Amino acid sequence: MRRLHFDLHNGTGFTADEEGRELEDHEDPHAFAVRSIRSILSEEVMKGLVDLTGWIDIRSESGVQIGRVSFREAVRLRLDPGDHNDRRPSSQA
Amino acid sequence: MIDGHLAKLRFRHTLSDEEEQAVRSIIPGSRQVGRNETVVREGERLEASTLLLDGMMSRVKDLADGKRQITQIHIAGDFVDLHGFTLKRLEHDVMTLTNCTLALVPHEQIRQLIERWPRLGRLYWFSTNLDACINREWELSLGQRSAAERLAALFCEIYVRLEVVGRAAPCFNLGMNQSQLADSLGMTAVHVNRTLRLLKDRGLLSYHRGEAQIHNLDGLKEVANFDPRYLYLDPDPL
Repeated sequence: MRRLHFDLHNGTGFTADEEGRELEDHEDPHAFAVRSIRSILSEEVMKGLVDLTGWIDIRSESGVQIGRVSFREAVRLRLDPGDHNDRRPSSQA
Repeated sequence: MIDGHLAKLRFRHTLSDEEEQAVRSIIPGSRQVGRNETVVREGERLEASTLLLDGMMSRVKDLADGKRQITQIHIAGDFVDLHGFTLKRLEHDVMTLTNCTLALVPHEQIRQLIERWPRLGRLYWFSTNLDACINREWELSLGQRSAAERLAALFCEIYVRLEVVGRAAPCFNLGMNQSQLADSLGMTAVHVNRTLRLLKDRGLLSYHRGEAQIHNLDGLKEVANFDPRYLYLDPDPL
């Protein structure tokens, strides 16, 4: 078990993760960040917004940054009905 | 120690001195349980129901892959698993959120109480119906409210329920970390953190390591579109 912090930067501003999250040793922090981004995006989509400009910084309890996950990494986009090769949004940036 | 429970009963219905004495007579000595302990496990045979005298508890259901849903929060004065009196086994766990003081009331004592005092039986039937009302409101939140509305509705509900048992204060210990709030609200902890920050920015609520501080209850009610009728604060007499 380890405690990691997931600081959020997105259209609503910066949200520091002061509390931190306890992850089991086998849990992947990157996958945890992706789930978190999808949770936020899903609500924003319900309001008609797709804002992929954000990211989550993952840091250890001692404050060392150990990763960054952008919102673009958390989803694939299908913008054309004939497009069966879902694209990462970064390819359209 | 059962003042919260009696306050909850008396808030909605009258309680004669004899009925109060009858309730008091079935409450055994209390015991302390630490936070985040499982008090009732899914499927275990139950011979007693848990009366929460002090602290906060939750009902919890898990999927096989470890995903969790907290389906209800209990406050001091609640008979947490009174439904276990008839069900005898629960399809969910019951856990403490904070350090708790509990009394385990034997089902045989409850049976004798409601046979001798049928009106108390109706009051406890009302109590389990009220739990179902709260579950329906949570379903409404999960299905239809936004993240901010869900969080606001939860804190409004807890505040009003604390008021009923005479324990309301702008600051109270819910004991839940953000991951547990997320498990209650169908969100992730990072999403909860972001939403708490938005509510704080609006001057409505602060939440830090389980301690809630309500700055503007009316504002929270407005965000949640909170309607306390589901809590039946002024029911018909029984």
